[in-house]
Amino acid sequence: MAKAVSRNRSGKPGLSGTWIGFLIQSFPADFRHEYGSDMLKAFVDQRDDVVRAHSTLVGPWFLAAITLAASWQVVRAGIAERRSVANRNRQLHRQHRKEPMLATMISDLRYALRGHLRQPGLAVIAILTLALGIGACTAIFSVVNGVLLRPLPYPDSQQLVSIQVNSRIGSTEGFYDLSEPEFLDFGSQISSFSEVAGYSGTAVTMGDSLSSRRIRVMRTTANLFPLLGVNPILGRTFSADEDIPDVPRVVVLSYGMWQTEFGGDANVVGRSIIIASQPVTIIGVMPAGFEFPRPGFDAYSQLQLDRENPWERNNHYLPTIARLTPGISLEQARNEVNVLAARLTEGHPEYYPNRGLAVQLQSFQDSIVGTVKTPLFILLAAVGFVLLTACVNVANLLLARGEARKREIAIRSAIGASGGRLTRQLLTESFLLAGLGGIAGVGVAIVGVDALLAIAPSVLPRLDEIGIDVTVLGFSLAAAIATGLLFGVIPVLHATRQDVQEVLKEGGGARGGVRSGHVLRRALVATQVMLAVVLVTGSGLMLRSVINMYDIDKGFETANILTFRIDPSPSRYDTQPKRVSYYTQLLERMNALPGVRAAAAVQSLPMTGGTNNWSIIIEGRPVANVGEAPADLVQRVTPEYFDALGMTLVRGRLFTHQDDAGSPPVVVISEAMAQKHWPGQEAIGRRMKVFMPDWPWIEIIGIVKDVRHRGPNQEPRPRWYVPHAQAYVSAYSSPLATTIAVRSDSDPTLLMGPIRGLMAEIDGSVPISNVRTMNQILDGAVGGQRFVMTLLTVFGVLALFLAVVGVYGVVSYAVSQRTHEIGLRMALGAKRSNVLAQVMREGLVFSLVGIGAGLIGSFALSRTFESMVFGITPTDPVTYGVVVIVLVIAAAGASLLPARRASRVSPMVALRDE
Amino acid sequence: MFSHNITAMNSVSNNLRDPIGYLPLSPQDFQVLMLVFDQPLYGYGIVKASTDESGTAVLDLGSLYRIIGRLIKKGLIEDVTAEQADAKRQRRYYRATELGRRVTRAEAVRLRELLESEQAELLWQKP
Repeated sequence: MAKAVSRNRSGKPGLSGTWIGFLIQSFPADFRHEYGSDMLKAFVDQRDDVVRAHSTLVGPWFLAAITLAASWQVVRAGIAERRSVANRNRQLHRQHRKEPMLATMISDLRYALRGHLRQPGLAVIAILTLALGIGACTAIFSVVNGVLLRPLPYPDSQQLVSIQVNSRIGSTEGFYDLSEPEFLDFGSQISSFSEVAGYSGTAVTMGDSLSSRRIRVMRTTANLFPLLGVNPILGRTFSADEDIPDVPRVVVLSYGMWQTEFGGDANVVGRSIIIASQPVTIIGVMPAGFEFPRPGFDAYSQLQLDRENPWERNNHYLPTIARLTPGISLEQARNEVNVLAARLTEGHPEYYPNRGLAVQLQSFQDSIVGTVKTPLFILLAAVGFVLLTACVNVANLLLARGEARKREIAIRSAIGASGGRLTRQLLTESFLLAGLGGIAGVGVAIVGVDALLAIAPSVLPRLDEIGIDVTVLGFSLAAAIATGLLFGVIPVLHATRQDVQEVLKEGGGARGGVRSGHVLRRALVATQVMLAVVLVTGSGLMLRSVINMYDIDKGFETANILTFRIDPSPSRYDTQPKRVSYYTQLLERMNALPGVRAAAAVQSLPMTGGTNNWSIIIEGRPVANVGEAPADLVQRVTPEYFDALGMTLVRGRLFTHQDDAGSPPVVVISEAMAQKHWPGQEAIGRRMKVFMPDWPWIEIIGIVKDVRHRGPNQEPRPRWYVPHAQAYVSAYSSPLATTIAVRSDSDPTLLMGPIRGLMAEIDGSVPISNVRTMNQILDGAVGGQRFVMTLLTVFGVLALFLAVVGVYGVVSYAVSQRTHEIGLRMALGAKRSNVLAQVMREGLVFSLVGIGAGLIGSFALSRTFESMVFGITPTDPVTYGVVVIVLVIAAAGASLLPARRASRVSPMVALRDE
Repeated sequence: MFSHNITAMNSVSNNLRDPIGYLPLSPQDFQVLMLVFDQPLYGYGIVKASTDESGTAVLDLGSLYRIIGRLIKKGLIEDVTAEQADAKRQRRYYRATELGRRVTRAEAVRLRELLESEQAELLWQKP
């Protein structure tokens, strides 16, 4: 039996041998190759011996034992051999690496420098092109870095979240601030938040009647500063005991205010200042750079929320920030918040109708910068395209130079330089250019950042955090390295793959040309054209959007209208009739000034901010609770308002001076509001009222054309207007702080002098602020799109210029290589016009390929532009058509000069030049 | 009795053809060289020949070929497969080279002198 078994197994690997053969893989490849089969045979011999020496009964056990032992021995030895080889290699490497590596690098650098100095023109062009590309990229990145990437200047800022809600009253989309009861609920019932703070900005008058000015104060809950983790540099912030109603107000100054108003006085704490006609004690000063939630606030004071009697649950006015409890993620907080929202919906169904309360939690940084992410990344990508175009340009320059150096490279290869050595040498030349381009690029970036800040729209958040810091310089370095590789690798690959024998036989330069070189250069230029098409298309789309935003019928005029904010003292005008009397007198006299066509007061002008959204009741349509009531945007205006802003009356009449507190309450509504509540019916004569009880019915007397209040690219929403003089009897109150709009037939800014005089006569204590024309306001509203448009246009023009230079270069080079052939053809009878047409055709062919690819690319990228275009689609055919025409003309123009040169070749001269 | 300074002799002989330059040998290298000193052996043959009286192989399969590889690299043993009549078994046979034999003898001399030194006498004394 044993013999039978051993005979079968003897000499053959079998299962155990196969297993050992597999384990021999643990040895390095070289060793396996040399001794692997021997080792296996030795194991088989040993195994067979053991099996033969034992009976059939115990043989298998010995077989298993010996296989196990051999497995261990083989693997252990294999690993040891690998370690030994690795150690040997490391030592060898260390010996060879030291001096020779450094020495070759220095010699490469010297050689590269000499080479570039021999052709300084090419080097300068390359460095300038790269500096422009890298510099522009760095400048844009500095904006992206400052606005989007840098964390907010608070400790653990990623733990800060903003809370917003949508109570589903009315049909408002989006999310907005909290009401006081909601704020209190979130503060006390969410364990995921360690602190919840509320804040509300306001403008107040500082100083007395002799010298007063408007300052912006942020009213906050006492825990805001601990929540943010920022301490004052002088004094203290207010305590929770001070943050309750009826406690005297105190104020913490911003650093800027402390410097400008108080000269950085170290003893400012304890001093008293007049704010809103009341003495207020200064208790502290915040450090420089503290600008919560955005720059522009001069001081911080208590919010003094009445926690026992908070305002209405549907009065949403309080921006809220929270800090996540350590260890809690945003997702966990969201889950807990949604549970609370469901509980509140159940507990207050009248305030949370339809789908109930919805809550949005997002990182505080996102809430500030979220809206500008897309445009900024588009700009970064666009400038990246410009850099790519610049790289292609430089690659083409080096390729052309490479053609001229073919012989030199072939000789070096023939006398022993390895492929690797040559590659290193050529890449050193590229990196030298890229390095110098990068350094120059930093200079371009510094200028670029200044220019960007100068044209940046005010809507761009965190403007003051944009600058060139270590991160930006690091980006610049990375861009230089990537650029060096990008434009260096193509010429290197091309140069090192040439046939040495062929080149040495050729003699002279690269006359006749290597076909692959030509094709490669044309492909590169086609790529440049493609990138230029994408950029020019983008800028074209933005240009048309901006024009549309200016041209669209906004529902109001912007020409020759001056605006400014006024804030009469609440203590002086402490009753509603006093307020109305002030405005009546002021506007009567203002309207009588020479040059004034119409002057009016309004709560908030179009394109300067939101308006109140108030719940109303329509006559004949009773509702059970405020949750079911419709809500629309309201404006309280003086009678000349519609005239001052050039709004159009559609039907009915506008307000007159007879519409005051003693006459029947009236209201003018917008077309959209008429359509919303009385579709297909006559709204004039209908009645409505504010939701609160004991307020009178108001009759609709007129319908005006819709107004794009939030901006030219925002759809108009339903709106209702009540007379300022009547508002305190029909719509809660007549506002004290308003914006004045003055329309003139000529330059309205000339009116400011007389207006100031008039206001001083009536009440010199009323401060005037925010003086600007409606056109300036419109520019601000369109500012974001204009910024993107301007930059894309700059990039588009740059890329187009580089592409044109590229086309010119390639066609020109091709002509210079074929002078002999052209001369021959002309000698044989070809007309000049034929030669011209042929060269131009060749130039246009690869340009058209680039244009085609660019159109496809633009189409593919069109979705990223969806949120930014206005009045057109991102695949607007007119824009695309114009881009094609522009690029074809540019390419044709670039080919024309060399084509004309070619057509002027003298056959005799060309043929003689053999 | 013979107290040559082996270390000094090692440091003096830089010439790799001088057997002294290969000393001291590791015990396993020495054992393999002894086994193939005057006869060619194949892999398993060396393992078998290294088995002691109790039947335990001193050399294992895994480390054996590492030793063989090392000794071949140093030129102390050589592949003599072609000379073997038993080619049908297709095993590789190894035998010490001339240099290998000289190195083995030199190591043996070194070990003998070590064991015959005054220090080694302590080993033979009863505790």
